[in-house]
Amino acid sequence: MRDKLLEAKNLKKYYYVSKSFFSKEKIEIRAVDDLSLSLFASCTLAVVGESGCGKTTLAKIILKLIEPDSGEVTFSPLINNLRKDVQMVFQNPYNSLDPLMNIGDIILEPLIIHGISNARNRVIDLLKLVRLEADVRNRFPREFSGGERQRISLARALATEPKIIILDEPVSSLDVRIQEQILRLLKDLQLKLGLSFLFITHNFSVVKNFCDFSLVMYLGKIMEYCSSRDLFERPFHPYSESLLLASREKKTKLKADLPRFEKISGCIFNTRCPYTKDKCFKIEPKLEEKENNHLAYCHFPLKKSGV
Amino acid sequence: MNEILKIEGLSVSYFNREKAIPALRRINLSIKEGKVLSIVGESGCGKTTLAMSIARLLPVNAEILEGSIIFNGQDICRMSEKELEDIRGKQIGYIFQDPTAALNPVLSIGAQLIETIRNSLRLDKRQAHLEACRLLELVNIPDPTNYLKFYPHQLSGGLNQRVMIALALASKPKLLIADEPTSNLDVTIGAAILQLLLDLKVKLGLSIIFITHDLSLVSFLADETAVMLQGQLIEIQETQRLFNQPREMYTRELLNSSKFASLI
Repeated sequence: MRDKLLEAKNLKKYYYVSKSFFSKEKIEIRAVDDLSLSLFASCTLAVVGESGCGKTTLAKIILKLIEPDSGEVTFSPLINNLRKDVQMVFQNPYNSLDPLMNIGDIILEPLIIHGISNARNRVIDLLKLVRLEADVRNRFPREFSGGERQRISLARALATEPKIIILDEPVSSLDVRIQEQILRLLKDLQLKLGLSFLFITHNFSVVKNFCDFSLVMYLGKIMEYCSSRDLFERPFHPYSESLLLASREKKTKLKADLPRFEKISGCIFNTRCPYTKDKCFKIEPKLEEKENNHLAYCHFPLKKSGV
Repeated sequence: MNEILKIEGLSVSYFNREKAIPALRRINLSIKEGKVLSIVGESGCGKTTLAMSIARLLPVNAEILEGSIIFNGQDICRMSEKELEDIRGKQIGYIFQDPTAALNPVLSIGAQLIETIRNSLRLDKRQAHLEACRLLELVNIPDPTNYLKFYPHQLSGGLNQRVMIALALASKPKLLIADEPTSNLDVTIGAAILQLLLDLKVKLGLSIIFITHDLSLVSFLADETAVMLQGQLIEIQETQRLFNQPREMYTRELLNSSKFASLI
């Protein structure tokens, strides 16, 4: 059994927004609702879901950038300095790099903040690690393409020798050829440096080739939590099934869009589920282990194999 | 079958102070009525420049050097601004990549739709309102009268993209140009938009030019596929044949990347 680097238990984060500009009535939005997960050393956990399902809120809670309303995140003793050992790569490489700093300084900054010695040589090593030439140090972010910028973000994240990197949709704004390059690079780095990734994505395709475990999120809740292999071969939850279908065949069985503010009784997925029965509208299912290490939030898990 | 659009020997360059940067080099292609043509390539290969040329919406530092774009027997390259008004957004509809940026944030969906409809169809307000409802229904937005009151920021990306499609269809165009219409959207929403485009193609007999970097989208939608590399059209084939027997090495590489990054 591998070491558990991170464990989150029963995280909750609700936001309250006004119904309209003038109204005093507040609506509760459950960004993260009773969510638990664990991340093991040298493994990748995928967090999959549509936009607005709370993926990024989850990442922020883990990084302690925001406080959860309840629940806690515990790290293994291997991680003694959170800011140094847990790093993040953001979705948009165009606005996550300071346009006024050259590449050398961007990568140098975390090294100086954490007092790492021999910093200037380390910058060159880091650039080499992400397969960029050493002389890009004097250039500025605007001179680089999206894929190159994402490598620079990655070099910056790797600077402090982190154990965990949170990747928030690192490839979704890149085109497919660059996506492939970046994903292969990430995989190489994981093998070389023993990194753990928390990989946030809305695209199932990435999960198959890349992630060991998967967590499917919908409206702040876990719909399915299992190994990526199980998820692809036998998805239990109708939501996982439809995400798979959308990735694979560009078809969707889902009804309508993500409900935003409506109160839903029973299963929270019942407004979009293609297989609803009476029970789904009355009783909310629990996230249960349906099979060995395969958890699903559904009264009627799918039985057929694959999609 | 009739060709609705025919591009011949089209070259476009961008100019900066020192030099000319060629963006399109002698592009030849044509699209038949009621068919979907997909243009695939990496970012920077000139896909969007091509789409913008068809609309004559190129920025001021770009120039069409040679070639012709024949639409309905007329050459778009040689039209005056006045003549273009009749083409842009009327006979040719456009859908852009980022729907939230393409819609006017200070006007309601209804106001934008009704403005566009009255601009091209000469209807009174009440009729235009009904037409707006009909268009929203056409793009599968339920309860259209309610949605007409909303502003773009109140709607999700997927709904905004549907509104964009409705706007593009308002003037009953014959040709629709969709520039990466799904790449900013979630997979499930993107899939629904693709399905919608396919339905509309059949229902309205639209011709569609579909621009994307992702070959996996193409196989479900396009009759023909053109591959672009550095401003040149390197391969154009029937979509199924392109998938089975790509002629060019580059197409093969692109297919492999798409296979890696998506599940085809």
